[in-house]
Amino acid sequence: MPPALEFDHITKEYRGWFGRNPVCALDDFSLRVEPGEIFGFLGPNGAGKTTAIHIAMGFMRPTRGSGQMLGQRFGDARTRGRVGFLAETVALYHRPVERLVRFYGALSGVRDPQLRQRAREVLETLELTDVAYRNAGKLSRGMIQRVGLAQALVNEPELLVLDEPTSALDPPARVAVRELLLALRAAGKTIFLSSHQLSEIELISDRVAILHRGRIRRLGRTSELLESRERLQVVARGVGPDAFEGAVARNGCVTFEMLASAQRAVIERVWSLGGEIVRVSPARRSLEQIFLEITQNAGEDTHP
Amino acid sequence: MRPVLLIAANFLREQRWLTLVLVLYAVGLAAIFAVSEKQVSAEDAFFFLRQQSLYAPLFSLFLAVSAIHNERKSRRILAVLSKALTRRQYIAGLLAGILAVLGAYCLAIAISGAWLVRSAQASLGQLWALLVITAVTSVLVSAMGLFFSTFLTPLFATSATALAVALPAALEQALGRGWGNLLPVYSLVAQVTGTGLARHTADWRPVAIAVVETMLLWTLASWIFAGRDITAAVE
Repeated sequence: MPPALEFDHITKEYRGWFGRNPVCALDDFSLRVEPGEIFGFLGPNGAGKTTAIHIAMGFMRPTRGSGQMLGQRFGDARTRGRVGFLAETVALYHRPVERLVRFYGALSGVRDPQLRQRAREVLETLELTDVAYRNAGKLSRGMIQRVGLAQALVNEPELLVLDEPTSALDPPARVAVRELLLALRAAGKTIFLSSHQLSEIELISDRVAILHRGRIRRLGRTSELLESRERLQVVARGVGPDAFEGAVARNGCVTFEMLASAQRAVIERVWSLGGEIVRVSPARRSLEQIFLEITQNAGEDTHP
Repeated sequence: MRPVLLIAANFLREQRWLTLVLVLYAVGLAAIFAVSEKQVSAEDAFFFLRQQSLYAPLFSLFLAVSAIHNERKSRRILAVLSKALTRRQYIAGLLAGILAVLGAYCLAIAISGAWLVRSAQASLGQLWALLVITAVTSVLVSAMGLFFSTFLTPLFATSATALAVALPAALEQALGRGWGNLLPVYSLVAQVTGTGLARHTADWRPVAIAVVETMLLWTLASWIFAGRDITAAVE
């Protein structure tokens, strides 16, 4: 099965007049997004996330390299009819919401009466029915973001490319969007999701890539990335919390972390203190910790 | 074809207030003319028509050079071009949208002009030729403006269009007849300014050249725009 999205050694350089002041936004960037997965695309500001997305959507051309979206080269208009896109800054025409959604649906090739029905469905799903006949230009930022999502979903896309889809939403709306994305994945859709909401990415993504300075620094299954290979978490009984550095007493046990290489020595120490080991498991880190680790070690290459 | 019509209709909708102002301006001016003069002469009626017809290419130029720039600056272009339409269709849609705005304006000129010419008890014979030439001139100018705006800012695109219009005129003055048809805006405008009571047949050759060149400019504009990064800084 061909990938839903594939970047193949893409380099993108921005240049000033006469090629002066080149800035490399993407540097030999390669990535495959498999059909049916939620792929979290992370990186600090200026990492090249939006550039990668815009190249995939055909808004800009790579300096070098190529890529495919749903089996067709980037920028193919007909393929975009099978894709839903939400930009980081949602900018829409000032017209009634329902008509606006139908306008974008029609541009995607959806026709009446299916278009009317789909518009009604997405407005209901995104709880926009109450504002369906209000001018989109007069809505709050959060509501505009929901309208942006509605226009991305109106053509029942196979692939959703979302750049910061929840940045302007309140917590209940974020939960609703999260559930919607999970439901879409269950329906077989592929979701390529760029976000700064790390906890959200952690909750719903099957795989994650962390981009920094135009290169991928970490790539893998979310669950595997979150589990540290170097550190272990130990739960022991019968020893005091002051016996191990950073140990915390909880429910009659102490919990602490150690380096995997010191595993044997630590276990023997617990036993020598008269205690017993309850559990040893890979230490779990948050995506935020990994993200900060990568972005703070900016100069070093930390490939997977 | 459908995406082109959707973009055109959307452009017309976005420019609806400007269109309304243009239409009211043409009709209102004709009304003021008719009310203030006890007897409208045929020469006055044609003066009004010539004047309005010369404004049309100017309006179309200003609409064309800012169309892409405004969409890029507001970032509305992203949601539109993320759909199943090509850049060629997008440019065609903008051109059709400008044509629709100008069509409304030309219709207003036609109705108010016909009313004035009838009041002057003159023949409507040349009115329709004048309007066709006006419309073709406007479309050619807007295609030129749109072409330049695919790679220049509105200010430079306006200047470049003005130069492109002026060059054949200068060549015609310097080298003789025929050069004005290179980019026939000058030849067409000369026909508009020459329209009056005297019966003369319109020269349709520059009109045909203008139609062909409009197609050519649209193709070139589409080709250049297809290669442009639309999300890079527009300033």
